[in-house]
Amino acid sequence: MKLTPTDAETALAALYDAKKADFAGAPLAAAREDAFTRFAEAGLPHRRIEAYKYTDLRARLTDLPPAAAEAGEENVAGILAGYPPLVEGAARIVIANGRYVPGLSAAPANVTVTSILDPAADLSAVGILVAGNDDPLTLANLGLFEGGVVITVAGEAGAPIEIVHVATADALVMGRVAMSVSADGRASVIERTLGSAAVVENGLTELTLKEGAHVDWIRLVDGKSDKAVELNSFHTEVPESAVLNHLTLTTGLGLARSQIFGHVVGHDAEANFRAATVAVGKRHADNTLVIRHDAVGSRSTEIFKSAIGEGGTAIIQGRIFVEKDAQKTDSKMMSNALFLDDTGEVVNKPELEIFADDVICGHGATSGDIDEDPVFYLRARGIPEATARRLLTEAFIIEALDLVADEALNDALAERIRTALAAVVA
Amino acid sequence: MLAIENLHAKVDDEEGREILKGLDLEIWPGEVHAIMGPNGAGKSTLGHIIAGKDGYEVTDGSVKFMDEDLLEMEPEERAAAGIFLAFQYPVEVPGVATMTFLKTAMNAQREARGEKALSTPEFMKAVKGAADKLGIKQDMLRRPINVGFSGGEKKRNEIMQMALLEPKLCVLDETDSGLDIDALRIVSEGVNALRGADRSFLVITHYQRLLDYITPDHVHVLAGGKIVRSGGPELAKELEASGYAEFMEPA
Repeated sequence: MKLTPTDAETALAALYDAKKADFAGAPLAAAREDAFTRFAEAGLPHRRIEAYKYTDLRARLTDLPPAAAEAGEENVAGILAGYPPLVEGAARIVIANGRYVPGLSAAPANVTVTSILDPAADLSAVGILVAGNDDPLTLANLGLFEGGVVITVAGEAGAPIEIVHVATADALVMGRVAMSVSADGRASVIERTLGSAAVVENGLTELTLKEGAHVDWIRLVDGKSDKAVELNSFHTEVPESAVLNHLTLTTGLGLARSQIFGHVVGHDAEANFRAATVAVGKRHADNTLVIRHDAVGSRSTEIFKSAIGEGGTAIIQGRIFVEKDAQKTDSKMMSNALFLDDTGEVVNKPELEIFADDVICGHGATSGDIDEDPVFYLRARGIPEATARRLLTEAFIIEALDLVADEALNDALAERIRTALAAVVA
Repeated sequence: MLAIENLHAKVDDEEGREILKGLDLEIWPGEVHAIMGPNGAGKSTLGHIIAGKDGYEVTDGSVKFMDEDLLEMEPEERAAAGIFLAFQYPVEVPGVATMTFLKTAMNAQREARGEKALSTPEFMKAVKGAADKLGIKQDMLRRPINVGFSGGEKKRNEIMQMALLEPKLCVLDETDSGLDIDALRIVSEGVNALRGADRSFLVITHYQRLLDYITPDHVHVLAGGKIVRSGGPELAKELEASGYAEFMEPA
């Protein structure tokens, strides 16, 4: 049964119609039409769609702000100036209001960056990972993205890359990132959003790795107000002997849904996903992960750590498919949630679908209060109870930073976690 | 230093099983007392009550430490006053780096006593000194507390903390359990190095073995919730030969 379109759905359809003429002839126009048509047929996902049962976007996205206009470069530079890169020496790639800003961006050695709308852009790795995907947020971005970047890493990136999405207005923003990394290439990426407090963002990333590549990717989700909406879909493919370490760090306010669609397709490939979430106050933090193992002898780990308090909500959906021929798959998923008080809510939904018979797969989920034995251990050494509880609460979340090898970056991320918890934990 | 009189305590749950049934014990500065006894006698309970662990209710009697009512103090206050419990099962604390923990603990105690916080170089020097003596590698200090440590490493970590925190009364709860002979020697040497005129020890153990390395001044047999016999070091040897059977009869 088709539902009556909501105001938001009507607005998105009108936006597509209005932009259709601009899109015609531009790169990826045919893909836009196909994607938006499919999006419009199903509309915004709601609670009767299983994957969106706990994050009903049809009900939540009632009034969408207007689509963002192109940002003034000075304005963007002003916003950037207030927030230095998280890692010293990182090269920034700036996407403002969904559009690549070459004037404020830099590419480290062995990295090239092109606007995704540049007719000269190499689109050979664009759209491949999302083809056939029917996730509504992915389709909405594919139909409506304002612009974005194609990043190519050939060899080892000369410096860490910080992809900064800047919003200069409380607007609807849909930027797109496509990155490909050469065989045995290496890159370390941090992705974050700066600027307007009530931006409605629906980002899309495609990360394509070649054999033996190694990528560390950290995404910061830190909505600046109750009105912030941060939707993101990260699609990736991990081939033979490649390694991907991905971390989503969610703090802040508003509605967030971070989706990962990972396809592990090569022997000895390794994909590790971490999500550290502090959902405090009016925060709805949804981490949804779908991993498909499709090769003999590949590995993945999925660790979700959430702290919930003052009415915050954490949704953790993790789904691992092991295809029939993916023997010797080793996949472990664990979700641990910690209640900071009696008011938070957590939903853990782990799913395993295993069609191979020789695999090691496991999942577990816990939710509860802080463990009292370590509290006593610290107190018995003279650490006051409040400090002991704070340290242990921080530690609970900080554990999800286990794969962040850069010490300064690890410290900076831990500090964000401490700050986010400080509001609730004395 | 420590004066326990007629201590009665029960488990703080619905069953409310009484574990200590009128225990008396007095420890003077510089003395090493060993508490031995069969399983279930209440040995670990005694250690826990001295350190202030939740889960027990003291129904009668008193525990005084340096003339203060210990039972009125929070665990962290007891630690700052000079009580140290070396745990039988040191807790693993993922996510809290050992160094952070040590510094927080040392400075919290110093602050509670009105002393100046240690500077980072002072702290590093102290830790390095204590760690080297116990054969604790720098790599272990960088790891989260006790995570991935072997049984012996955990116990050495306890003794290192004891050395750094310079307590007045050290309670060793079955420190020998799970240790091989080499680890036992290292741990014992660590303890012996801390013996002094102002520092007392309460060594809780099931086996006499540990007392070959840490020679006590007094040995007490705890059975059925009270001290049923006290003596010198020779009592430990006697127990090793005869076992605890004679104390197991209903009191």
